[in-house]
Amino acid sequence: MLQALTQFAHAPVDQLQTLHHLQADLIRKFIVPTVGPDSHPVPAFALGSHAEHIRQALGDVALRQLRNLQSVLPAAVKLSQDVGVYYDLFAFQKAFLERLSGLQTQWFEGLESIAQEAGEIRQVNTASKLIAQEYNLYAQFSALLMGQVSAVAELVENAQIDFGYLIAQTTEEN
Amino acid sequence: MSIASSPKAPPLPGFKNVDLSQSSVSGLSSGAFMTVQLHLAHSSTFVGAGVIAGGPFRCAETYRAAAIAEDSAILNAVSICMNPLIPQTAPDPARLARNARACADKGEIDPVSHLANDRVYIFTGSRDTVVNSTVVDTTRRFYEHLGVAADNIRYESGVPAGHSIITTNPEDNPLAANRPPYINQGDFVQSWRILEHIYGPLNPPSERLSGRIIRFDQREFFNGESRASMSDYGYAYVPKAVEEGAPARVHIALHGCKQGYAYVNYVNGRPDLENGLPYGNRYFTTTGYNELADANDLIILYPQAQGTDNGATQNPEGCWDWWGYTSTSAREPDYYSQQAIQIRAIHGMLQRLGTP
Repeated sequence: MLQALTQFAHAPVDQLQTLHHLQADLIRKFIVPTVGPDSHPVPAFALGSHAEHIRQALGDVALRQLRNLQSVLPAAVKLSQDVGVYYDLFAFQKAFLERLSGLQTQWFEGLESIAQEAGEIRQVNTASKLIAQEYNLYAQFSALLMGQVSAVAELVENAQIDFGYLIAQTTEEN
Repeated sequence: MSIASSPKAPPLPGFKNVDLSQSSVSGLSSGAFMTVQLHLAHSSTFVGAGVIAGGPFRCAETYRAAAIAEDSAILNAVSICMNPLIPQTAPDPARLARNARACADKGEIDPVSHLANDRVYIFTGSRDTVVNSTVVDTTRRFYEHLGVAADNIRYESGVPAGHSIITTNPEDNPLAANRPPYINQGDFVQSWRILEHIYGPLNPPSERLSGRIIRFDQREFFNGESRASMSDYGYAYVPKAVEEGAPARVHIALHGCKQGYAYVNYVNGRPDLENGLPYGNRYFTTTGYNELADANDLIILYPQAQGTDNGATQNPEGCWDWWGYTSTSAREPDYYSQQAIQIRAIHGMLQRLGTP
């Protein structure tokens, strides 16, 4: 039963990872390079493809961490008598996946906002203003990416600490 | 990076007829965590407290095995005391209450029996994404475990507010916002609710203030030590009647992170002195405390924390110490006790106000 439950716990994580990769592929299809026959004049779109690889990698790190944590549970806890631990595990997983999903939503919304700004035609009368506008897009991408990296790292740390605390409480009770 | 030392300000004055045994304290966020610490450390002095989006006493030591000592506190602070993933990984109020009793037995804080008749206001916004409502709920249960009667606790959790103190100022952030200046517009003035819960029915707030805001030099209260992470200046609102000798009480209002007068936002790891304005006087002029104080002979004391980020002290956002960054020993921190540098400083200010 323990094995079945562990496999059951892993299933949503696997599904999310598959969805995660599909989303990344979809985004990359719509992001064109800045050189070549299909290029786009705004360099920011090219950055988006690279950033998408990074976002996917971050998501993979987070999901791997969750799987690793879940794998530790059977070895650490005497589960046979305490069904409540399974409920805690599922709740933990659900909360983690919800947060990760929230971060990914923020990522797409941020990307959309930058793409919208990049697509707007703005009055530019001076070279310095043109440079500033182009730089702003890069800076916004950079800030968005930095935010995602920090947030995922924080989520992973959060999961590690909370999981350890949960195990510590459970083993104390047993 | 710290702001250069400022010119000396006048010392904090004392006033006649100040009944320090009727003092109270409130705060937002790190100010709320410090409120609980101050309340417990000197419960013989206080009659009540207001906790907006704050967690229980010594919350940051909940799971000490998380990491080595210094890292453990900050990891606990973020992962258990602010954003636990599930309620089961939130702080344990019963255990923390036992720890508090043990501290009292050792003389580190006042006996917890002083809390029994205190009145405590506790608030969590249902849209708060900075300090989870689950954590604030444990604060309520923590006080109950320490013997505060349920009827004396006013717990609000249904307002769709973000991480903030609530006012009715149209200039403030939308109610559900979770961003600086962490003062949000709702349909009530939260500082008034806090004071009325603590002291009972009060005179309506003044429409025009009669008194003055005093700027005083805080440095004498922490001997200028940089590890205190406190600003050069503190502030207090003193009603005219109090200056003229009317009987008075004192309420301490503690701002949250990024809300001290000297706070400047960091951009790419550096204080944005070119474009960013310091937070300034917003917390001690627009949150409503002064208006109600003026009509009820209350002195409002506004101690100020300041951002410090160096080899010894990591507090870039100017938070009050609720995880031990001011302690000289990470293994045996003292940030919660009567001997803590910030608690000593604030208590010293309170004592001064009552010493004419």
